[in-house]
Amino acid sequence: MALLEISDLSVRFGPFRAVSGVDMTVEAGEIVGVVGESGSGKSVTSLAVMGLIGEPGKVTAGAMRFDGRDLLAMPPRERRRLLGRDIAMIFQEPMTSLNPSYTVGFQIEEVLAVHGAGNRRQRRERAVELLELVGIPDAGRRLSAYPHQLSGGMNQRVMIAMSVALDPRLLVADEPTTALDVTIQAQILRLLVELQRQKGMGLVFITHDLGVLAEIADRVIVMYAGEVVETAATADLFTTPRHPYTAALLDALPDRAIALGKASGRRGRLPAIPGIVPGPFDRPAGCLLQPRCRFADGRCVTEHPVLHDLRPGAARCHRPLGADGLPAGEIGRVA
Amino acid sequence: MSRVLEADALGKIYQVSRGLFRAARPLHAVDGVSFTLDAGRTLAIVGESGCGKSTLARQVTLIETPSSGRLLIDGKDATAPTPAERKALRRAVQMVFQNPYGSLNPRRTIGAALAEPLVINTDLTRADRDAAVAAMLSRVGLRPEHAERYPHMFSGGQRQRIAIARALMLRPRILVADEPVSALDVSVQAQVLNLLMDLQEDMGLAMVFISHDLGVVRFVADEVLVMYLGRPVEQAPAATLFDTPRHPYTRALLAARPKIDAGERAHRPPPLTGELPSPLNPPSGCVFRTRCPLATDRCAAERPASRAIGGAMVACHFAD
Repeated sequence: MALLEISDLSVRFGPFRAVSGVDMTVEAGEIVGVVGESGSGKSVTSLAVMGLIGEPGKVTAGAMRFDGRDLLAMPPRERRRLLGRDIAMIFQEPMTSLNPSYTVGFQIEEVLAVHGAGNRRQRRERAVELLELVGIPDAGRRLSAYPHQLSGGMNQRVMIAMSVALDPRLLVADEPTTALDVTIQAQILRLLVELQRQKGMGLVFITHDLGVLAEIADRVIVMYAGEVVETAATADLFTTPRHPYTAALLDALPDRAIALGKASGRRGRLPAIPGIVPGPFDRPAGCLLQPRCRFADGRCVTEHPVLHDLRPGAARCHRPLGADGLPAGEIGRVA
Repeated sequence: MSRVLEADALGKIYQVSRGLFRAARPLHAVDGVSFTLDAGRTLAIVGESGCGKSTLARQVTLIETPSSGRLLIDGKDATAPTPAERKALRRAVQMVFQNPYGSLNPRRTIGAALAEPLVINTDLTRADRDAAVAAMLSRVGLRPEHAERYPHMFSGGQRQRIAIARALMLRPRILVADEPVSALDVSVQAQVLNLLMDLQEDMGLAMVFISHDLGVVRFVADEVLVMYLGRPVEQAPAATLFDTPRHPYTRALLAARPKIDAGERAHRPPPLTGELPSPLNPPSGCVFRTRCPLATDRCAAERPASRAIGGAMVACHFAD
């Protein structure tokens, strides 16, 4: 049984569907990467899993199960108790996720206290252990530091310490390294993967950076304008992307373009994707990528593609790409 | 090819107050940076937060006055200009900022924002200004009728196009772009980079491109300057730097980048340990030594001078 099982998840804000028809499973011990640009619905998906979508947002799903338990049917109290204990989350901005008026020690101990772990002294000891676990030197003294006295990387370590405080079985990390410098990002990624292996957690890693997922993810889910457009094992996704959007995203990465000779370093141009990601009110008919897709034809304009199972992987495209990067063949045209 | 920008041992010291009863302490935000830049070429300045890259940009754009060293713009001394000289020099250097959501006034139309540099610096008539705005809008891939609209009606990528258009209204010789694409999505980032390169070729712009993203730098730069804690650590032509990085910090930066290619991932050094030291209390000798895998006692005692090694300038005792 999968640790997290979601099918047909949709999130609406009034008439706008921020997320529509998302399926996702995460096994224990697995790292699932979710990648997309702004407005792709990747963060809203994770907030919906956490039960953090408030009014006027509306969450519907065919199924949303954690460890076999139905998250949607669960009373709110019980679901809240699950959060922080069994499912934990890390956000992008460590500086704004921590409360500036309390010491980091207090904030870590608070997590433990809320979930009724140990007495005061035990909680303090556990907080020191946790800071040591995430590689903060001189942990005992750092407990009395305020967030503004620590660097961004150190604060993100504190956030990670808080999130793993109660040994969660699923960790959702939303752009946890985006605000960090690249050498610090490398440290934090290494730490997250080590913790994930050591504790056998499921990890959902949300990012806009394909490079990060190539480094750590077992499987990748690519989102565009609120939908899953491709899922694949990480190695497959980067060698043979099946959806034109995934392929175009990869091509638009400057160093990859240089490496593959698609743009010469000096005075070349990048193969950019024309146009912009559709906003709430200008989503096109048919395939959502169609106005920006170099392979789009008449059918793409009229018929919204389903997520085809391609074994391995899946792509939401009428004519998924083959190994040569061109449409390989048409799926299921209705005459 | 004409030399439009020359910096010689530029430095910037801020006096950082430590409260009422303690003496202010000097912070060397930029320390001994030298470079030259020709028309039509791009110099990328690379480094992590606190390395001084943005302070350097503010010196080149005359927002900050250098504390030491010399800055020449178009052959004229820009180190300590008189107000009149400064005004003239400012026409030659323009800047594009990182955040296109913060750099445009939400209450002014795009047309007004683009016309403002002309109002301040030229004697053009209103009709001429409007024509110049319309021409520039189409040049950056927007439509002339967009002049009537307000910033909130545009996406991030479009706003960055507008910011670029505004910077180019006075036909500057030098464009300083401070992280111009780091707030943009990958698909839009490629469009804006392509646009910057088109404009650079058309107008013969010299570009100072500040970025933390080495992938982007590799694509746009002719020359690269790597900085750490205010000091230049390596300076080289882009191809040289990416093929044979010589300073241990440059190597660590390149190694720390997430890599898509599994082969590249296989043989790389472990990530740097530790954090950036406080710029208020930098390490003695080589500032990188606290995180450097090669550091010895000599590094603590003696600040390494920049030496020429195989086409690069490297500030390390042990680079070869």
